[in-house]
Amino acid sequence: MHTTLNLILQVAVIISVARLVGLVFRMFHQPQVIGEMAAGILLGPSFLGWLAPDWQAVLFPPDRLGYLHSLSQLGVLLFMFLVGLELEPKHLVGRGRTALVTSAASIVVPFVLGSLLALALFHSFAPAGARLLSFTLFMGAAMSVTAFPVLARILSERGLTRTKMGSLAIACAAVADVAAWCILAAVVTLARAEGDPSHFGAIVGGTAFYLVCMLTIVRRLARRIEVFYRNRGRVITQDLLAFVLLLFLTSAWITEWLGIHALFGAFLLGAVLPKDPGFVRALRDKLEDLTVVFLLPLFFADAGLRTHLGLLSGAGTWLAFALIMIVAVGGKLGGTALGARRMGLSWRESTAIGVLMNTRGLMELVILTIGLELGILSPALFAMMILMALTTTVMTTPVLERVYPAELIRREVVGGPEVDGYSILIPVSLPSAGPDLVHLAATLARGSSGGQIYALHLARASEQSFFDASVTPAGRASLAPLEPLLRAATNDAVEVQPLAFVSREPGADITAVAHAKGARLILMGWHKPVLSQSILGGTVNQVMREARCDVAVYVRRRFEPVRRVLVPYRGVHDRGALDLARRMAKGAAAPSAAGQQSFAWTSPHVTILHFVMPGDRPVRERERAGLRSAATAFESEGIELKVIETASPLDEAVAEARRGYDLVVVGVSEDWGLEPNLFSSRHERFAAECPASLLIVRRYERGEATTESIERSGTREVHERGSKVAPTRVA
Amino acid sequence: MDNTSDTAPGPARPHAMARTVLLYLGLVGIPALGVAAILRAGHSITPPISVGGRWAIETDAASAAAVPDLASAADGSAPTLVIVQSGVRLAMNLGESGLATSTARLDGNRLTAALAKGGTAQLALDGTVTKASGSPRLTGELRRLDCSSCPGVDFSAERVAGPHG
Repeated sequence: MHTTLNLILQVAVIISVARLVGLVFRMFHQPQVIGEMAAGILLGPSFLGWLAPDWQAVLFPPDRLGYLHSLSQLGVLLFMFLVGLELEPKHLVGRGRTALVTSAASIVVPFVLGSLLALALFHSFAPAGARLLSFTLFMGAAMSVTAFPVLARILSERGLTRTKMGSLAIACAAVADVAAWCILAAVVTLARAEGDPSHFGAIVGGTAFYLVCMLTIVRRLARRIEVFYRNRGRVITQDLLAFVLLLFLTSAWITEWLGIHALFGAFLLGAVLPKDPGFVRALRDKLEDLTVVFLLPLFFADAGLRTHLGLLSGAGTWLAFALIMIVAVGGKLGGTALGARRMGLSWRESTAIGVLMNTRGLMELVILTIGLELGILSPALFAMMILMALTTTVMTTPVLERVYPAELIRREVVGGPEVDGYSILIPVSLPSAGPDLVHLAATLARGSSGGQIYALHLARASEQSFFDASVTPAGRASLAPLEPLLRAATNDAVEVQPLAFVSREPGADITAVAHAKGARLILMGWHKPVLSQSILGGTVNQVMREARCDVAVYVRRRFEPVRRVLVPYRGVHDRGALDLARRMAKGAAAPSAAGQQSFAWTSPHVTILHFVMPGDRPVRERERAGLRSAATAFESEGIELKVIETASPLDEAVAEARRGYDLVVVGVSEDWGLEPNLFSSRHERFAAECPASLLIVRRYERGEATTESIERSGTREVHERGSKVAPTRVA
Repeated sequence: MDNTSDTAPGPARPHAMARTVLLYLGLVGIPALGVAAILRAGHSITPPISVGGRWAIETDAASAAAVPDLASAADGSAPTLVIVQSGVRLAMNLGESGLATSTARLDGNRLTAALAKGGTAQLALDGTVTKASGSPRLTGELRRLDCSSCPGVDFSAERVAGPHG
């Protein structure tokens, strides 16, 4: 096959397998990058070469791997440049003695243990001709490294960036990374100098001169770049991008020429570039996708092609691997945890930081590849260390879940209930739905005192950038989707507390936040999903099933102000709808905080349509008697009660809704064809036929008798608080 | 007003600074001494000699007849032995014969190995690596394991390519 054709085929196969395996890993709550690393190994001699050696020989002939290797090196250079670019100096300093001691322990303990391990492995596993000094320092550095980007990603995905533990882990990882790279630079220098003092001196001298230039001339140049960027309307033009890339290539070339690796030049240039958040984000946006999606999988494949897991045979080898794992986990996890504990953190927090710092991932792979290239690692040791890197990274999420469960994180991020009253949680996924929801929530909450409205945006984990740790104060970037809602709330003088974090399971997180905040109602918007027609499917369905409070889903159909509200009432399932409608009427009558009602929900007229089945005379007579007293109670609240005797309440409700109602508040029940049953043919008929906007309500029963009727409901205050709760079956 | 807060100026600062410097020295200096001690303890440990790469086995008609696998490994030219070395652990392949390492070990400059095909050990190799001038040489004996009465055959091999190609 022609070289170009071969290269295109190689790249296509690598990217396909990387995405596929990455997807599988994501399904198991692992970062995509770990899947891509595993994909590299799958394409190498350890799996494809063993399963289909002929295919592997055609796809990756040894004499045609040069171009792939070059592309992969470019990818890892760009990656290191981005890592340097994301390095925040504020992460390295100013976090106090706790960060200093913890980060030092997270480097020193694994480094010393790694050096001891090197002593044990040197004779049996060091490559021929290796020098003990280089080997020892290299093993120490390899044990000390933390994958800053992967750690940032895990913190971000678990919503830990805003916790004390998360910010401490970020600080420690940043320090550990810089320290590990400094040690590695020394190791590379020693290895390349090959014991020649004059050569060593030349490398050290050249590197010192280069560092001085970077910290003076290039840093000044970087400030000019920042000024240029600001003057050009905060846009990175193609010329500016080309200039930055030229600087990047020059820096990488110089460090490679000096004898320390090209990666250091790439990393250092990224580190000295301006840290203006807009500049960093814009530059990252231009380079990240190409690097992460296209070039990094090539690096993983290149490393995988050099990983021979088949070399790991024999009891001695596996014993060595077990030793490596013990030192890696014990040194990094144990050292960090002890350091953090010494500084007064709880055992749980200390262990969690240790678990996080034990994430080695991609950075370890980069270091190991350098070790293999320099002849410091033998192929078997390289394979063992790769396995260790994968294992320590894969174990992070599940171990962290056990040590520091999501419930604790939520409690720390979200906090506990702050008010005792009718609180409403508004999860917002579509920013444009926010204003309507806050208007409705304000109307519902107005009649009660002491409540709080919470607006929650949960960013999906996959929306996050590879490097984005969202460590900006209070995660401001993630509050952006709430801005329309917050603007509307400000205009209407409604107090709203915004909450935002990254979520892997939005449904579970919404219910957990509602519980943590003591919300009595979750008010959700609805927008047409891409793949499903169902209103009560997906996240809405999960929230309805699991929430330990009332849930209302607002389906907007009409854009006029809401003046007429209809509540079709058939039975106990509609009591939630009835309660909300009464709140609406009550809230509309009450004055707003600003002294006037400035939004659409001014003074809706509420009509309750109570259906009575014909034929069941004794029941009907009993209901009629009760209804008379209920009607009086409703009348005093300005609510109209209509009683209709019919065998087909759904048709009657639809017919009534067509008579000029703006909003229909309806319970989740079989009577309205709204029970969220995935395979029901009658599913959501009311929603399909009703022309008005809908508020679909699922009431959460708090251990009350579910047979309570409208007659009693009419004279009872809604939502007794504090009684024992039990979930209601929705479907 | 009480002035003994965290931000208190004056004499508290030098103490804090000194504590931090001591802490830093403890955290960096002691481990550095530890690493130095480790290096001193291991100064007599030597890495294994290099045997990785491709070795061309020099055979004659008699030895090829005595060890059929050598003939099948030759493929028209000198049979080659490919060794992937990881410290003292070796993975070996004998040319086109399909024979691969069953067990192999490097002890000093002595190399011992059993080569197997389909899970059955067929050939034993016992050799010594020497390096006088130029390329290293491996000399020793090859012996069939599936034929106890067959005599061993002396061989000599020269490394034609190192571990990196």
